[in-house]
Amino acid sequence: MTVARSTLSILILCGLVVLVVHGNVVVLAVAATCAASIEVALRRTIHWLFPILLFCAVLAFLEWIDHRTVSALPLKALVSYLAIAPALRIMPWVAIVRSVPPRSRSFPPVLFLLFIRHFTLILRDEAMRSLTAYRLAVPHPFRSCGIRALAYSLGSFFRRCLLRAERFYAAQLLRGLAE
Amino acid sequence: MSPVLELDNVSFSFDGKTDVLSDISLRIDQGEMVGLVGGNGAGKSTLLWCALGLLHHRGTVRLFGQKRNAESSHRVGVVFQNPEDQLFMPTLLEDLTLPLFNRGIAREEAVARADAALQQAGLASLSNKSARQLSLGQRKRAAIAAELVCSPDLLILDEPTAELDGRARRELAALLQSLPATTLIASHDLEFLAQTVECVMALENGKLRKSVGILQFIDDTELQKQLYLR
Repeated sequence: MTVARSTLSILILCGLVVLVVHGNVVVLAVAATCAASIEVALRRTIHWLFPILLFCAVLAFLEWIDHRTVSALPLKALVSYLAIAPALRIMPWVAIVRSVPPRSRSFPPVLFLLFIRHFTLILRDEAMRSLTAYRLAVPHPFRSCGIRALAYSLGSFFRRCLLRAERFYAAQLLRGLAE
Repeated sequence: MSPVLELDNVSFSFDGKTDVLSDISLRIDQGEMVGLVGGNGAGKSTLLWCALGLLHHRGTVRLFGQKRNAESSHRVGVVFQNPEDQLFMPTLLEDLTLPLFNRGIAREEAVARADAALQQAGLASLSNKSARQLSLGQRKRAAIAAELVCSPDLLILDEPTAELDGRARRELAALLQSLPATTLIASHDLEFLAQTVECVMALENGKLRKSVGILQFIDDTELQKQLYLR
């Protein structure tokens, strides 16, 4: 089971790399739609999609403001999220960590992956928290102040993420992991 | 008594203009259990961050009688207000063994020490769970266990009872009472401090105002009002 789960998650990640490097807009859009449909069917909810869609929309908007054209980058970000989230979920972390000798050369990459996983979870938690707070504070997003509240909400989301990243770094520094 | 933590005229400013901490001098001796009290924004957490070398401050900090260095810093255990920022491995056992592996301790000994620390924290049955699957009270105790595993000579806790219910606070107090390490607890939870520390240092607007016994401090309601604790 562990081998099957590891293989599947590595296949997903490899497939993602190929898709992001070589895929055109149509292929990326099809992949994003398929991945999103599978995830929605598995989770039976759709609200978890909003933060990443919002992030991609902001990215596209910033590109449009800057160049007046939008690249495939927002779509690639969406596909990356939709592929990485299940791959990290499937990955048998406990078995991997226990099978790698702690002082070996393979341990730092595993630790790095765990850091990525931790930050992904921080981003998800904070995104959900900001979104919930925004929805409670602004029942009608398209009326007066809705957009401004969304901008403040995004600002607070990034500030919270930075703060938690700083605390995480401080905690690991004190535990001696930065040496 | 040999000194464990000494601060001499420590000052700190975020913007370079207004001092958040000004001329703080204190000394904590081996075996002492000390509380650092003050209202919100008094500078408790900032003082701890300065003592740990996480912020660039003026003045001197000495750990175990010598200027703070990597060796003396390894003898200090810290539990932050939010334990989620300290525990990130897939299981508690891995979280606890990681710093031991990092110090070159063999797997068998590391696992035995982690098991003992989890037992002490009352979390032995949860060693294969992830920190995210635990309640907040359990996560706090897990964060303490993650520090205990390295046998720290000084344990620093920042707002350990924040957001905890009565039972979790009692369990945490019982755990801290059983520890042999010198302990510094920053908190404004006087009921909790009465169970865990012998004396308190009162911080007000970045200045160390008074250092008294905990019972004397609890009786001094006027001082508590001035510190916005009541």
